[in-house]
Amino acid sequence: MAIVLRAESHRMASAVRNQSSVDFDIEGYREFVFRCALSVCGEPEGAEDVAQEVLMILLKSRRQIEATDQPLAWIRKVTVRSATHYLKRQKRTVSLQDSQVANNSSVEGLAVLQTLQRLSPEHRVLLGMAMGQGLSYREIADALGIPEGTVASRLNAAKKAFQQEWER
Amino acid sequence: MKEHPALDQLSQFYQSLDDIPTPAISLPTERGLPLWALFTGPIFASILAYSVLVISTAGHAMPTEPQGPILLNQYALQELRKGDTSSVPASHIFVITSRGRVI
Repeated sequence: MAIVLRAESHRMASAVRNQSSVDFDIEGYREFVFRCALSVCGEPEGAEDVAQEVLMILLKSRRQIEATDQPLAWIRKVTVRSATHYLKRQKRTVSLQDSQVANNSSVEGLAVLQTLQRLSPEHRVLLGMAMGQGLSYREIADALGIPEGTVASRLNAAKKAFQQEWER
Repeated sequence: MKEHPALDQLSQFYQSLDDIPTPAISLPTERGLPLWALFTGPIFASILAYSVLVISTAGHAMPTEPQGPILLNQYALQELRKGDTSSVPASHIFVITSRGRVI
């Protein structure tokens, strides 16, 4: 998944660079935003909500995106922030019966999702970015605005927390 | 180095997310509504609705000659006999008593 997502990122980045400012099109970012949100949220309903929110932000920030050298990094930062907010304000437990993940995945998949839901939003974000999107420490550090060393230590803590919750 | 089984499961879970297709995320409008429309829209709609209401009920509210018989009770009949009846043409007044007699 990491390789696929990175290849997609590079493809989109070159496509975005080739676009003139007049050709800015929100459609080109839908897939990227949804995939980023999905890796953090872990379930499609939440990812769709986050993606919609982020796309609205992108529409309003069109000039800002056009002005930046790394639009995908900027968009990833916005998406991760929105996804983190979503996880924080998500008071209710996601209905697993209604979830598309529940319909399409194995019992282990449901168990993983339930375990993720017991973790803190910060840990879920780190796991999603590192293991879901396959981002480097540097990329994660840029997106979260924290030092690389902090990313490493927090990621280890997140993995340990997941293991502990998994074995409970 | 072999990862913890839980992390293997987690890795597989993230891989399984690839199978989920990207939904058609609908946006209200590409350009967005101007902010002033949010405030003026409801006000304009209210004025329009009120205008329609006034126009549609205006015909009914206007004082016109009665279109049919007017049914009065005994008290109203007494009042009518004592008072001014100019507002209602006598030809339009039919009084039905409790015994069914038409006056």
